[in-house]
Amino acid sequence: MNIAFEKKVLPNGLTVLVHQDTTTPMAAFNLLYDVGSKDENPQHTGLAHLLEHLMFSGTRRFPDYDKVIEGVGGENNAFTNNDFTNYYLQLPKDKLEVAFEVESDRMRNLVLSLRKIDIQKDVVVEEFKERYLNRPYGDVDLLMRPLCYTQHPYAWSTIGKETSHISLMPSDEIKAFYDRYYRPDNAILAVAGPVDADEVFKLSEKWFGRIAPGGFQKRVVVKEPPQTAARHLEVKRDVPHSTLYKAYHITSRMSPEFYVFDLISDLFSNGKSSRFYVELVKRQRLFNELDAYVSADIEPGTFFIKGRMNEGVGYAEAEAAIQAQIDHLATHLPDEQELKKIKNKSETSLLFSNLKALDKATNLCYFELMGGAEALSSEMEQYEAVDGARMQQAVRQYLREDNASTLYYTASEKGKAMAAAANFDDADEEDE
Amino acid sequence: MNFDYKQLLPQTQRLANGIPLYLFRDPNSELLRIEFIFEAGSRYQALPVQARACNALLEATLRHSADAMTERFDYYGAYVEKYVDRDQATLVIYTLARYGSEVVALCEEIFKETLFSEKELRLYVEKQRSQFDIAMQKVSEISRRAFFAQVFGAEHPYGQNIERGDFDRLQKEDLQAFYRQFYVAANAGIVLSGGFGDEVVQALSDRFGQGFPIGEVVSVSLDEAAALPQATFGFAPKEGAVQASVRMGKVIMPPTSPDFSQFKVLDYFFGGYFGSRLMQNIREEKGYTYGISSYILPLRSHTVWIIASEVKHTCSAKVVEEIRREMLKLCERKPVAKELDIVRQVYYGDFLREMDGIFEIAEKWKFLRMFGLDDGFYRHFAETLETITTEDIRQAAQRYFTPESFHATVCGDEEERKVWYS
Repeated sequence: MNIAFEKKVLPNGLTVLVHQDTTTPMAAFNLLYDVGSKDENPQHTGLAHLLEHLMFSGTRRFPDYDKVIEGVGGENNAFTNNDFTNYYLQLPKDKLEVAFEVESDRMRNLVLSLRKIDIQKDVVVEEFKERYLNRPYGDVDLLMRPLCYTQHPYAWSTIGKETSHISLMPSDEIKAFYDRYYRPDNAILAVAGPVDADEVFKLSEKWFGRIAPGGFQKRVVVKEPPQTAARHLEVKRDVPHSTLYKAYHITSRMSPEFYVFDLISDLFSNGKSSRFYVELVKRQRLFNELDAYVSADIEPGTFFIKGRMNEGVGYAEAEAAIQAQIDHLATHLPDEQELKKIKNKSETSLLFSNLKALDKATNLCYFELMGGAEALSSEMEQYEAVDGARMQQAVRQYLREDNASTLYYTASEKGKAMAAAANFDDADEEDE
Repeated sequence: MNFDYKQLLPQTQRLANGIPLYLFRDPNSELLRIEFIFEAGSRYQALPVQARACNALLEATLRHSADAMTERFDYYGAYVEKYVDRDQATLVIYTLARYGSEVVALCEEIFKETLFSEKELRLYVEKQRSQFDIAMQKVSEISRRAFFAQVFGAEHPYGQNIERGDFDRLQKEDLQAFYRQFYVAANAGIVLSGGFGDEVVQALSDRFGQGFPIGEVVSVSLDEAAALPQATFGFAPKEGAVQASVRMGKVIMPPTSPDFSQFKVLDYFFGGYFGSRLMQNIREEKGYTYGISSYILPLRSHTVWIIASEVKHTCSAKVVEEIRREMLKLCERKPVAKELDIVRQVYYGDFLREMDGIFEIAEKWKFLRMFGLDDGFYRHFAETLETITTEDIRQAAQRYFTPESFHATVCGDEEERKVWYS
């Protein structure tokens, strides 16, 4: 897989990447800001994400951002995570300049009125409820993060620690945050589609070239001290099934070991022929669902295991069974056939995640942020280079109990009873 | 809009036994997609869950266990997805193009040497029951189910609810019976797309053109003329809910109707895009919700229009009121030309994105084929969008936005209920 691109850094620090893809009539425009929830004040969390919402509330020149994009047949959205905030648009190629116009404008000229701030606070609080509070198991992220991280700002979710952090967010703090981080030298732009690199560089100069850099110092993130003892938390909730969560500290997304952990998680739980599924879900019938996955965090992240237990199965039994799988990998090399299988599956997903111009633009920015966009094209080689010995080494070093945080998410009697009384419609697959 | 509509049409072949094979080719793709479509949705089942379970358990064969079969699919980097809706059952495989022929051979085995085992069924049922329990904790799921029962009636194949206990009643013989009747050549279609070579086409033709029971075309006539329930209001309780879920909607004309395209324009205005009337009012002005939208669900025998949103605690009545007010506004005042312009641009953009890529185009074929439509459907819509006037939109709103014709469902806690019944 080769995703060729050209790169230019403007004098004000904005990095511009261009990837040509002539198979689509649409141009993709992705603008990443190097600011995420890890940059927030621990007393006022949720700010990076709240500001992402506010970025759509207009400037003097373009009071209604969405209308401008919709008016040229474009589509846009954004997401925030712990590491960065990402804005993306797709629009017909001949309208590409509109993206430059509005994005350069809102990089500096956002109007943050009290009224707009209040409305978006309400919207975000509803989002908080919809996704984290009003949904079974929705608060797991809120519980796991402070358990895993004692010092590091990954200790809170992107949405914020609690709804009051959002509703009580001081507006001068929002403005200061915007002023500091929404700067060309803190951003990476990628354009992909039927475009020409020189044309994109010219447009970048024209629209972003005159914006002053922030010149702020790069962040210094508090390091998480190494974990030395197992951590536990138990909560009781009105959910139908008790669920076991485990998170082990691992390396950063930028390290070569990330690919080792990713393949370990595939070996454990990617697909119905995976080890966890065959052995613990199907044969031993301990779990209803059992997944392993890695967080793709830029700072050292976590290897996650989530197991929804069958009725009558206790935590001790469930944990012992998972530990047996970890121990087995630590002591027995996986055979070539199994390695080939998980690498083939990785190849399929990798091709899928770089299928569209927009995917490629987003991924280029993300990899540039991690140290160099050219690494995107060598991901398959990174997977290929993983062998059984490296997997064993990683398991032994990281998947240890004293490096793990464990959450028992226990179903209350009421939760179980409510489940037993419910009715169900033979639901369709539907967009909602 | 410059668009070559012909690319929406597949190259079609008939296999020896009559199964249509539709081809959408992209020689540059390193991936391919194979979709098997059977007329085997939940409307045809004699027992609850039968259609879904039958589709899900197409794994084990006379020669290989379910585990061995999934191991073989996984080895080729294949992702197998299964969907059962009210009308159809499908099996979709995405895989590396270089393994296309090998994967077709695996597909042949699961369809021709199907073996349903009691053990796999029990495991499936357990998992489904668990997912069901979790789904029932969500206000959105509870209201969606109640909504369909209201719109079609609880006995109708499109509106039926099942009990939690239904999962346990299913036997493997029920799956065999369903499979024998509905998974037959007369009910099948295959869509192949992506970077395949002729050898994959040949493999499909050799392996699926024969040795497959022809069977009978299923009768798809629900009694479409039978009266559906009058507009209803329903409240579904969910203890402890911190938000409420709102569904409103009604049965509308099918996509084959000449009036469909006008309605689709109306849907766009109302709740079909981010800047729609509903989003502007209920999210951006009032902050009652994170999102609200309307959409069209085209089922084979009835097409439903649905408005859906999860809203702030105890605000469901205000939201329903605002939805009605927005309907009335469109009936009374024609929109300004600028708004129509935006809707046009939004549609063109959506359309180009929806058709951006061979897999997207192949996926749309299932819908067109079900209604006997072709690329003319999209041409006609684009024409309507070009020629429609703001007065046409107002008149369409007057025809369809009659408040007394809408079903409404709300799910929420006791306080939410009091908002409606006090």
